[in-house]
Amino acid sequence: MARRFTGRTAVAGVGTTAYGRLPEYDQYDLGAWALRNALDDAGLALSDIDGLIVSRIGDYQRFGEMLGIDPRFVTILPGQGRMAGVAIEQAAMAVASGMADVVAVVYGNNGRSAGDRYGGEGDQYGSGGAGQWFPYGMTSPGAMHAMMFNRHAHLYGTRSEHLGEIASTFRRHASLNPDAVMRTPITIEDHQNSRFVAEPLHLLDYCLINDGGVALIVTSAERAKDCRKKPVHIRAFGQASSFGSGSMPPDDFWRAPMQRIADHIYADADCTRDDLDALMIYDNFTPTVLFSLEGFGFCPVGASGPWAAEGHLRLGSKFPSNTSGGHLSESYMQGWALNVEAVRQIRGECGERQVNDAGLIQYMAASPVCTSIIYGASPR
Amino acid sequence: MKTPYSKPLPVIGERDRAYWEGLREGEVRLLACDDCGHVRYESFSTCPGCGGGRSSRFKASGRGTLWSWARFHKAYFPGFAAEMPYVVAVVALEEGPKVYSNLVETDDVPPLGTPLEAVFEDVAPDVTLLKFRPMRPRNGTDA
Repeated sequence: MARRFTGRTAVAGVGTTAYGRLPEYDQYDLGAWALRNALDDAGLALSDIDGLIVSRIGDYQRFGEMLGIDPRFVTILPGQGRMAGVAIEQAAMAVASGMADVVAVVYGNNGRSAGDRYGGEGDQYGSGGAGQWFPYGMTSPGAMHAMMFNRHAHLYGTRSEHLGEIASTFRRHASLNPDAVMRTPITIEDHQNSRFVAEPLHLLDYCLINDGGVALIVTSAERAKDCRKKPVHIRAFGQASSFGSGSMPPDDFWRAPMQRIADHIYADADCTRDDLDALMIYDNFTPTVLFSLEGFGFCPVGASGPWAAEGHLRLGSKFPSNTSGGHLSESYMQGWALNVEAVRQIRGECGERQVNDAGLIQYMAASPVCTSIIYGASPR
Repeated sequence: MKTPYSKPLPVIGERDRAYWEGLREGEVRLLACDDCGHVRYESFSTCPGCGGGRSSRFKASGRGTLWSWARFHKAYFPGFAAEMPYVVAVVALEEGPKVYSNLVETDDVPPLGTPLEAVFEDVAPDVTLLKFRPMRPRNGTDA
């Protein structure tokens, strides 16, 4: 299992671009911009890269041609947010197996300039199965998450105000992040007063579609010691899928696959939930945060709404989460920038939003492919 | 004068033609695996229950319950713009599969769990959509 990779790999460099509306850059440009920053961060050169994983960038060959590199190990993953964790995990596996020494993991997204809407005629959500429901007006991952939230509310009494706590908490974090797109604090009342998109979800329950790029350099724990910054170790990781519900909302809010990861990831990382200093939770929509907290066992099943409303996710609390502002307020970089935030927190580079002595941080993503990664200041 | 139907229409392929013909004739025809009996909505060639490759269409009850819903306030499809905001329901069919649909013959969205029954709505010469209304008490059985 994944345990044999435990602590053997590390993130040696991270790079991000500006986020926002950047029409002069395409996916390739944004990826290359982020990669330059990540290499500089690591003190490495393009010639050091012998592994390349790209996502959302249309073509790996064109990207390699543009960079002038001929890596040993190459792969491409679909431009879905669930693939951020998969990509980083594959990089760790490639390094741990000896297939590559230095893997560049690169993401470029020009969704804002390209006019991506995640709904309507081009919607491919649900493995391309979305189109069959257009005659009924069904489209968009946002609507599916609205239905999941509606169901959760019915089963457990979860309230929209609980989502407002998440949106306002992450916005407060974003207000401390100079790179965040949305930095003006909001209240739960602002959240409640924002217009509906797919009711019961409001505009402020939705992530921010923007242009941007993210890159990470993954290498062995040994080699990372010689890089410019202190290594951030990949302590443990896991994946589990749940495809049975197809284009329909799942009955269990993806709890079963998340539990399968939780069953081993803390033991693999040699830690408990209580040892974690921060959480990076995939937040395409606010309800996903609640589903993740339940799936990974931070609160009892059904209790995530009131639990979050107690303020546990705020900076200064037990589990400060999405300290960058996340997808909801920093930018929708589809999980990628959350992993970078974990690295920067552990290095102590986060300025006003820095978590004191952040030594262990968990990334988690709830979707038909669930992933999680625990990053640490030390390998064990 | 009736305005032309402008909502998206299904793309009907060979694999699911029998389903759409069923709706045309007022029946919900799902697929059941010949080997294990697993019921599915999707017109896959393979049974997700056992991996078997043989299945047959059968007439389902047309009954289900309201599992969840969302109300669209954003016009992703121009054809729905006139009905904004509109509701898409998730209906859990009695036989197991879920479908997205619309509720008819009701002004409000009933509570989740409400029993529903199929309504067959002809929208184009060769297209009938599967919609649902709250179940009506049967003759002679209502108090």
